[in-house]
Amino acid sequence: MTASADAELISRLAGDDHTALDEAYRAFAHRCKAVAMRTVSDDALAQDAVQEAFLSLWHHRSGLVVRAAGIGPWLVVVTRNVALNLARTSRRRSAREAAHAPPEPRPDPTELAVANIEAAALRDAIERLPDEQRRVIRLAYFGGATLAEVAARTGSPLGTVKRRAQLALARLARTLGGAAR
Amino acid sequence: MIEHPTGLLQSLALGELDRDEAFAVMQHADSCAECAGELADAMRGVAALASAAGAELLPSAKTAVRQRDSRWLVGSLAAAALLLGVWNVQLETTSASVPVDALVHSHFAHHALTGTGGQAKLIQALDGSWVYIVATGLRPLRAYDVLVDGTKIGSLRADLTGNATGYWRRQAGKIASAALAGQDSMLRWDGR
Ligand SMILES: [Zn+2]
Repeated sequence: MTASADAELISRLAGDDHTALDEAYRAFAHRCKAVAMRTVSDDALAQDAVQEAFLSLWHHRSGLVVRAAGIGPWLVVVTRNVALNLARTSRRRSAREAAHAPPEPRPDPTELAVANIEAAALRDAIERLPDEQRRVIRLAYFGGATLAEVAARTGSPLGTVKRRAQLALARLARTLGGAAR
Repeated sequence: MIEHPTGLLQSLALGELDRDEAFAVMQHADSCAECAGELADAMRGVAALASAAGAELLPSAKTAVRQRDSRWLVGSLAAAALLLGVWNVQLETTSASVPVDALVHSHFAHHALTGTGGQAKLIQALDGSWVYIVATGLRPLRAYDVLVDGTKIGSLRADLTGNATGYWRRQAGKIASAALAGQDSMLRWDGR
């Protein structure tokens, strides 16, 4: 979606136009579902996360953040956040139940091929970050640590870690932005 | 206006906050231009990572549960492979170097090559100036010809596990068909 189409959609959302939400769903639901699946690996939970993100988009439709971030990035992040929260809850539950895990679906190798290409681009973008910013992204995004845990592990003040996270994310947004729109 | 939740904007974008905390921070940022701008930058970065990353770990956030079941282990291995650049090593052994800038900007299309003797995908620049083939399920160590529009542009050899990748530059131009041809197998895409 182009920036101007995005802005137009946001204006219509802000004007309470329900058809704009349908359009956003058609444009972004697929990507949101993929992101949710990577986070929860469960079709029903992933679908719940996507639905909640779109409801949330409607709730925040006239806020400044959607406008500043763009609908796609906003939806991806909110979907991922909802999915992470669902995953935390379901992991606590499954840790208690210690249930038998269902067999993993075999990934389609051709899908993996494209994912790997994107991963190569991603790895390259991460490698180009300054050392201390790369460390924060590795620990916080890929390593699953909170920013407070990153601060403890690296011996840096929390404020510094947050600043590095912000700089790194802004930079990744610029280098990888085309893929994320 | 309440105080700016500056310290929580990155945490929100990275998915560390629970629903109520996230809602409160978002409510503030939705009406504060300064926080909205900073949060939007962080969100675009996380969205770019989430859209490009094949696998990731579950941030532990404030949950005490840290033991990983096999599902998350798979994720962590994939993330580790990504970070160690294993994929790149594989590319280098087949002398394929991916045109990262083109990929980053998504100026590519991909098509499945179907037929017998394996599975393959053709990834091409939209202008046809490069093609990238990735295949799996091939006969180990067997050589295959790569044909674009009926012309052989190169060949590749499957590794011990039957996987192969290759990358070729060519003169820009529309690609109407492609094939991966082996001694007793044929995988092709005919332009639809
Ligand atoms: Zn503020």
